[in-house]
Amino acid sequence: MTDPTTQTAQPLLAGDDQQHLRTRWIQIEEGFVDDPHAAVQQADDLIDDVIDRLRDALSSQRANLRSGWESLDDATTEQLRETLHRYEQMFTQLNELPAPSGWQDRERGSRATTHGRPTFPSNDTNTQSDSDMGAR
Amino acid sequence: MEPWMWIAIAIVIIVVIAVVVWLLLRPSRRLKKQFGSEYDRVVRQTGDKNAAQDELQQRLERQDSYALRELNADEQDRYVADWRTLQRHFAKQPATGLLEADELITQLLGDIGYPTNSFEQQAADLSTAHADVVDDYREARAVVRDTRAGSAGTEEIRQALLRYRTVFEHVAQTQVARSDDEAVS
Repeated sequence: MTDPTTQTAQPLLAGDDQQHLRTRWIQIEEGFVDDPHAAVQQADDLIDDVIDRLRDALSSQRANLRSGWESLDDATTEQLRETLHRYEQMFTQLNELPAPSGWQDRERGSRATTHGRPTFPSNDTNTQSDSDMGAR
Repeated sequence: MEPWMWIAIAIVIIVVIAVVVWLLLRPSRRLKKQFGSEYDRVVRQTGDKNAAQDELQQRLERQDSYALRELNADEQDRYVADWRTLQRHFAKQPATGLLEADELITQLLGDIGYPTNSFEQQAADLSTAHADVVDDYREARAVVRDTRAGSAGTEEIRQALLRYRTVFEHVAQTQVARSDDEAVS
């Protein structure tokens, strides 16, 4: 048995799911200019879907852990200790989930756009990660 | 019928055709039809119908001197991909999206053979082959100016970006997919 402490963190959602969700997000963002209200509604639906998928993924992670020790009639203390450690990892992971980075800015952001006037882009680089324009 | 009657009928027909052709080909009518609202704009600007017609005639001649080309399918795809990227940038930072659209259209015009020295020149050139979208181009451009000055609101910028997209699609001869086109599910 490998030492559970050296296990690398796996993403909760499968790569295909992540890709699918990301594609949906891109479409929502692209569609904002055509229909801002619909885009926001779609974003809400998307988050709802993500929450469902995360719940499923977490449930199956927990089911895995449980089947690991429930099936053992005479589990050794060491096996139980390792199992407990895996529960701890899951607990820590969930308990310390970071909030989305934009949330701290909400207060500042809502004040800045009170007049419906977007701030002019200066050297604010946090949203330009996918800028691939102009190179032709 | 007597032969002279045939000749008379032929002469009448020829005269009628000549008058109709003359009426249809009058510069004012021809230019008005081709330039649409731009014709009225130039007349207003110059304050003189003849001067306006000269100006528009010059634009047509200048257009003939350009070596214009059409984009191939790969280029169209690349331009559309760039356009979609800037629509996403608009959702993050409206001003950035609009300024990128402005740049991309200038780049596109240059790419297919138009000189890109000044906005007025671009608008004038655009009016010869793409008269339908010149109004959109000018109005979007006015919002670009306001955006640079920091006085344009998000909705104003959104409308300008949609106008620019109309221009873009017209000039690039292609379509940018709308969100309703693809099933977002």
